[in-house]
Amino acid sequence: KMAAGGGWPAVCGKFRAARTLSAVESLKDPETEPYRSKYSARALLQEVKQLLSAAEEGGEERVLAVRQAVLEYELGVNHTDTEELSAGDEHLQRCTQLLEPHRLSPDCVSLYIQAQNNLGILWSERDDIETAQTYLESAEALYNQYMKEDGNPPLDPSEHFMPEEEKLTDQERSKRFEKAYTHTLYYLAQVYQHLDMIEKAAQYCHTTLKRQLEYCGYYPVEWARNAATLSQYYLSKECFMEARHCLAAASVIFSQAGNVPSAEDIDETEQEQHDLPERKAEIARCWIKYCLNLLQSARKLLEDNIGELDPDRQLELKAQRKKEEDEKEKGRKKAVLFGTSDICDSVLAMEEKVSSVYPLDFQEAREIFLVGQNYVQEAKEFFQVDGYVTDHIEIVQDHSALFKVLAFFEEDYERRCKMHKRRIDMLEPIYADLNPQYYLLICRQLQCELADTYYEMMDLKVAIGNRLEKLDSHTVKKINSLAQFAIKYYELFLDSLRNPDKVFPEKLEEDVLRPAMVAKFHIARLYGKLITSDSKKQLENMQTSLEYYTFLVDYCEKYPDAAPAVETELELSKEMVTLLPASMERLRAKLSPCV
Amino acid sequence: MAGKPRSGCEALRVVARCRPMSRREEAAGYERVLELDVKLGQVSIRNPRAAPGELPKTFTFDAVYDASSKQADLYDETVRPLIDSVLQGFNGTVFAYGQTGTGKTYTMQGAWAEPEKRGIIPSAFEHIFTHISRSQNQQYLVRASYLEIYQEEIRDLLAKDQSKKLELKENPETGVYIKDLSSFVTKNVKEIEHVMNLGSQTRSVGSTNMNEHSSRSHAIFLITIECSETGPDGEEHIRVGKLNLVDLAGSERQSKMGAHGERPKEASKINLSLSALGNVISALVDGRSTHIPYRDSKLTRLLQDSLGGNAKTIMVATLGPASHSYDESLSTLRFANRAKNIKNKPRVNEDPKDTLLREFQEEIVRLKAQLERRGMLGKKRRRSSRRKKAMDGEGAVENEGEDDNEDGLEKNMENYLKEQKERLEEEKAAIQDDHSLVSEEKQKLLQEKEKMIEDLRKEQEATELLAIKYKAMESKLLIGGRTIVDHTNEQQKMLELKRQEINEQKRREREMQQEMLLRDEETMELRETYTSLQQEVEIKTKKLKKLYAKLQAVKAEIQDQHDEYIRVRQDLEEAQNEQTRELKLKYLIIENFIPPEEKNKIMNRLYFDGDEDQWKFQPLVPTGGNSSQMKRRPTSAVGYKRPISQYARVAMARRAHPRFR
Repeated sequence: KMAAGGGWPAVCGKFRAARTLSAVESLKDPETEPYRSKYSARALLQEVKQLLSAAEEGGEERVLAVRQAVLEYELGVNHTDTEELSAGDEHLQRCTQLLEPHRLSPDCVSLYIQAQNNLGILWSERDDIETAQTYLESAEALYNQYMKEDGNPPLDPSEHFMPEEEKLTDQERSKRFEKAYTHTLYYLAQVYQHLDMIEKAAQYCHTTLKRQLEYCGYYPVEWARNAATLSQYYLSKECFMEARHCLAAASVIFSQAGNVPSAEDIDETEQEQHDLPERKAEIARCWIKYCLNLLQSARKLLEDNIGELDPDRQLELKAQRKKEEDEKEKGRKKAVLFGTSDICDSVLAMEEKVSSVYPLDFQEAREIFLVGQNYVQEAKEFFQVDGYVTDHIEIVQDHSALFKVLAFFEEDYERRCKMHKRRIDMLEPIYADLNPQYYLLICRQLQCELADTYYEMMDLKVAIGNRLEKLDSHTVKKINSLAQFAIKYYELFLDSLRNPDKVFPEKLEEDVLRPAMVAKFHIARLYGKLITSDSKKQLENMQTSLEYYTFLVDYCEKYPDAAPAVETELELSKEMVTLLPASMERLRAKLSPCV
Repeated sequence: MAGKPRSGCEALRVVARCRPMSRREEAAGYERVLELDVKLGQVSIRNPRAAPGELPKTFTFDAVYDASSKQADLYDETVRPLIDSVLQGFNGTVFAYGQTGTGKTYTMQGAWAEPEKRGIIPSAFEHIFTHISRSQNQQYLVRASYLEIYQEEIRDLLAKDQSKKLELKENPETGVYIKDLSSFVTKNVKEIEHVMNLGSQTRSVGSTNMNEHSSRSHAIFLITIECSETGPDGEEHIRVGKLNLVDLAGSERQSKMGAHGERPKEASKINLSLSALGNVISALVDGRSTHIPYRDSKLTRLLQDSLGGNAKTIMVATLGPASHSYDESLSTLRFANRAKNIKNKPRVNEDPKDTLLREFQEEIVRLKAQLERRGMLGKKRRRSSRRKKAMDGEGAVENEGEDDNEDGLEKNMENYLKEQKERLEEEKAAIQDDHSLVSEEKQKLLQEKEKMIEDLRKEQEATELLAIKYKAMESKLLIGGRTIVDHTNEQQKMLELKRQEINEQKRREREMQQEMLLRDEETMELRETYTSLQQEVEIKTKKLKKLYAKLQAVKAEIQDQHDEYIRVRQDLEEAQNEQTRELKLKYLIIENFIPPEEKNKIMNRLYFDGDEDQWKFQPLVPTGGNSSQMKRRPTSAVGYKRPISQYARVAMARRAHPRFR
């Protein structure tokens, strides 16, 4: 039928040559002529187009229209790639116009979706993300409609220029079609992200991951890392069930790495093998965050206004949980489940190792804590101090935070104190090793955390002491030394704010404002709590305490915008500044008659 | 010497440089859109597509260099003080930022062959070694490394095995470093240039597509200068300065690759490759209480000290003047303008623990001691050789040439060895001559002597080796004045000082001029004594023009703000209409379908939770109290303890039946 230019096989040959030029050769183009191959490909496509229109009379109208659409599509993509957006737009529009009546038939649907994908990309290049969204969403809708009404593997666009004997198998067709749709979803995820529709973006990322798994288009390590990252998104939304599912899937898929060769070719196997321990440790860190966040959220639910466990809330939540247990599980799951059945089973087995509901008592909290602690060990195996200082310390800080939140669930004060001691034992040696010149920020964090921990321990010891009939000297000593340590670390932190000439800054930077003020406030309180039998000494401590309170009050007077950051502390300080002098006066009065 | 930090804090110095129009651009008839005011340090850029009334945007930098500027101008005015600081033990970084083809590499490297066109890197080499040669009582050790970051992988350009990827590591004591990065100790300009060329060669050979590669990879040339000096306290102090010379990838690439490091907000492009899915996901995660398993970019981590840390940093923003690169030039200028706000806290690195210089010095001391033990250093020769003799158990008194002149190790060594050998030979001869000895004994003694000669030879070899090593070590340490005989030292030093002063002066002048411009309006009034009416008119016109321009700028600003405002208002209006509609619908539903008493009940239970920003129901049963505070059961009927049936009431009224009481 094809008269001109050597007939149909020649046309097919040209078309194929154009595609190779554009996909393979163009990667090798020199910087000075970045689009050389693309331009040659374009020329070829134009030729094919002319040949086609020359043969117009002979062919069947429908077939011809589709072939023209394929060419328009290729030309459109070519123009978009070479930064000629308006020309690209025209070609792609013509392509969709040609296909419009047949868009639901198996020979057109894939091409139509891909054309719309490319229109989406094109409009995003023009910074018009809303238009891109309409194209992509309509592509998504078309896929769904086609799958509902027909569902047979449709033709790949390139098949329209293939001799009959080379046509693809159904399996290959389906694979390419699904891949095109996966890309639609992936682009939509980005569109939603740019439009700040974070939840939708996450949902589409999730679906993209899911489809990668279903159609075997993934590198296990990379997939696992992405799933682990997505779990962190769910954490920030307090969706622990979803987060756990992502993490469990990440762990399962990761364990496949190196065992099962994936469908995609892997060139950098060696490099990947080399990175495996690090990736594994990264996933472990995501698990740590999962445990930590779950515990901390539970704590937030359970604590009363002074940060202690509220037994009424506990009872209430327990009752509520019993009621909801069954319904909830079923409702959410089917939407997010990853993978085929065998993968799914291992994921579920993995999930069972740790709960995804809020722990409500010490026993439950401890189980989650232990899982978290295991992952801490695993992560630390790779992220050792020597070589990974920042990462290592972050892990240790998480470990400490795990202990801190576990202590909340513990009722026995002595045991709680021991947990805080564990925190001190892990933080102090690391702090001592650090050079503040290079790790100033981390040093400050550690100083504050150490100080807070000592402070908490002291509070606990005081509480224990109050239960006794009389404070024995041992407890007094303990309380005082804990208070001294807390003061020491707060002072170290405050010293780190001084400039090289050792002068405390006149005005505090915003990022250190609250920590610095709280440090001052706590030091003031600690001086107030120091126990001494020597009244003179006591007077001195009160004086120091007063000075720190006064600093807080004066500072906020001088810089009123600092006040909101330390509202409660400021209020208390103001009170103390008025009260302390009076009690000091009383003490002095008591003191003088003796002298 | 210049630019001492006043309060320990120092802003990043940002300079802009514009290349001339290329022939191709001129031929194509592109307009110039950049105007540079060298005196004021200002760059103004005009939008070629702008409406006629629109004013050019102006940016002010520490210095600007126009097309006519020489390489030496940039170096002397801007870079030289930084290199001086590095020699004093500060960390320093120079990096070039800009679109590909605006002259980053020309600025950093330049044309090596022509002294006029040498860039920052070769000039810095020259500067460093000249400084060292003129110093006094100081020991220097200069090391150079050269690396490249390409697609988040670090390559050592000086290593033999190029396939190896290096890792960024951290040490608690010394911060971020690159594991196994090779570094070469260099003794003079030639050697360090050689290192540089070697690296540049590997850089171009290692990739199949040089152009693509170079514009996508960052190259960092790292010079570490260790300097030891005896301080006033009599102790030796070591200072270490590190100089990073960075040739960044083309800025247009960075925005296109966008995913690394900071996420540019304005880019709403879609990433085509599924391999970037990770970036998309991690962009969704809020980092506070979570872990994102994607490392921040290697470049940022490596230069973290230079950007807001312990370093003095200069950024050279390179620009193209033609209209077709307007967008890129503008984004480069904006970036540079933001970079001005970065504050560094440079500090002299004094007496760090891990200096190579100290290692070398210790090694040299050790070798020296070893040599001395072998008796190879003049002064101690006698004593040690005597000790040796004593050990050998020979009491013979040898005659020694009392040559205490220390004109070289070899000579001493040779003398000593020759003597020893001669003596042994002599003794050997003596033994052979001594007929009184039994032949067996003679043989034995002879053998002994042979052995001693052999030992001596070995010792000689070992000593030679040691001496060579010692020499090699010592030669690596550079000591000023001695290494290079420079007669014109003093004069050149003076010259340099003067030049520096001039540059400093220039800079101050520029700063003052910038200041002046600001105060111009205020001072105008003070100068308002006119000699003639004409002059008055002239000055007033000038003033008017200036004010008019300013007015125009402000007007443009206002227009921008106004447009923005209208847009926001329209959005809000739309949102409000939407909500009103919604609300009306809800009201309609409530009115028509919900009985008023139910509505009231619900209304009473509603309260607003400010934390979660939404309305909530108060629980039916008040919480907070314990379960004993449950609402009491309603009494059933008036006056009775419990619900009671009609029949029971009648029964109760009739008689006191115990059952119904």
